[in-house]
Amino acid sequence: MIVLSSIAEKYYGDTVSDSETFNYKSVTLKRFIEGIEKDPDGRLLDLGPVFNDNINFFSHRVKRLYICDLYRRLNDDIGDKRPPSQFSRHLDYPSEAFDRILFWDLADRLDNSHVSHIVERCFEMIKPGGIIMVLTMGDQVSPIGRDAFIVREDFQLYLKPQVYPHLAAHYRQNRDIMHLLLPFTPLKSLIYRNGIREFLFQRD
Amino acid sequence: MLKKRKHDRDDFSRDLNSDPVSAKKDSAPSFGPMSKEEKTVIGQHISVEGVVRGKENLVIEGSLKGTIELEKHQVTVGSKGQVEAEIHADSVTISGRLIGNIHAHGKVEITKEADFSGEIKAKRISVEDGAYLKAVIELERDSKKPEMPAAEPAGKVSPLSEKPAFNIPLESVKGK
Repeated sequence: MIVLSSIAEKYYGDTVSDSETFNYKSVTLKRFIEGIEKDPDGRLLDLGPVFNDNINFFSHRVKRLYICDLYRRLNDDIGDKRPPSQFSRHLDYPSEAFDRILFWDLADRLDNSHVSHIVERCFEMIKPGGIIMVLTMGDQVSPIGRDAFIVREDFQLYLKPQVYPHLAAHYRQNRDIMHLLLPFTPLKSLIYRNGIREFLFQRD
Repeated sequence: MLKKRKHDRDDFSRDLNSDPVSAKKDSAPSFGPMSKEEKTVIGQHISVEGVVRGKENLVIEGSLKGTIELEKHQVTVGSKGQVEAEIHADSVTISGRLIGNIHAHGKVEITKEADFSGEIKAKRISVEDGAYLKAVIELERDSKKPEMPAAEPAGKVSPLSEKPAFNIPLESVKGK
């Protein structure tokens, strides 16, 4: 088992006094996008909440942006008491359809049974060589109660209030994330001073 | 059945509270070229199937299934609207339910009340946070830098570092 946390050096930033200032530049996201920006048929699937900032950011950078808000659908499925095995029905896309999948912090929001089905589907939907990006909040819970990401110019990530705050949070160690994404090959892992961790995984 | 009026959006909102079936027209008929403000409203209790073509704006508060071809005009799916259609328009605003594809020369606006499934090809898009979307979005891409919202006030200090605390290249991970 790969244990990233054992070799991770963590730093924590200053106390956040104003939630609006909670932002950082994501070098991982930049790398994630760079590979398909000039692809005339680049396809990115965004599984995060529907935010105008994100849609405008990505739709100007990739040829085709696919939006499927799994947070809202998870919220609906839990309300309807649907079994986790049915959750992946929302991802009714063809196999090997995407160059990139943006998983955001879904791993923090899905329990093991949900996330394993979704990862399995992602592996099927992504093209060989395609990259999936995963973010997690780390063990330092957002001090401002904001854990939905929006991206703005120059790959600055901001945190907004989660649209579905009552969805349970599942903190996972780095090794757990690596284990969940086992079908993929890890490419890059970063941890920021704010505790947010970013991962890139690739389908071989 | 269909209401045709020359008015602004606020006037339309008042219309919805009136009898949806009654047709209302301006008291002074216009004999000149059709105004851009003129629009047809498909009322809440009206269902339409087929191809809709025309030279004025269209507001759908009822249900419509088919094709809408209003290349130089605006199509609005109101909050009560239920539409399954291929839409060709200058601009499109969605507040109701729409399944289908949108080809817009200008802007597509999706409000948070919207429930949209389908494909959008447009020049610009605006989506209210929290809208129910399952969409494919393809915007016109040019060499210009994309318009982005203004960043947070510059005077505020970010507590976060832009430098990663650790970076494990693939080789290191594989070697473990």
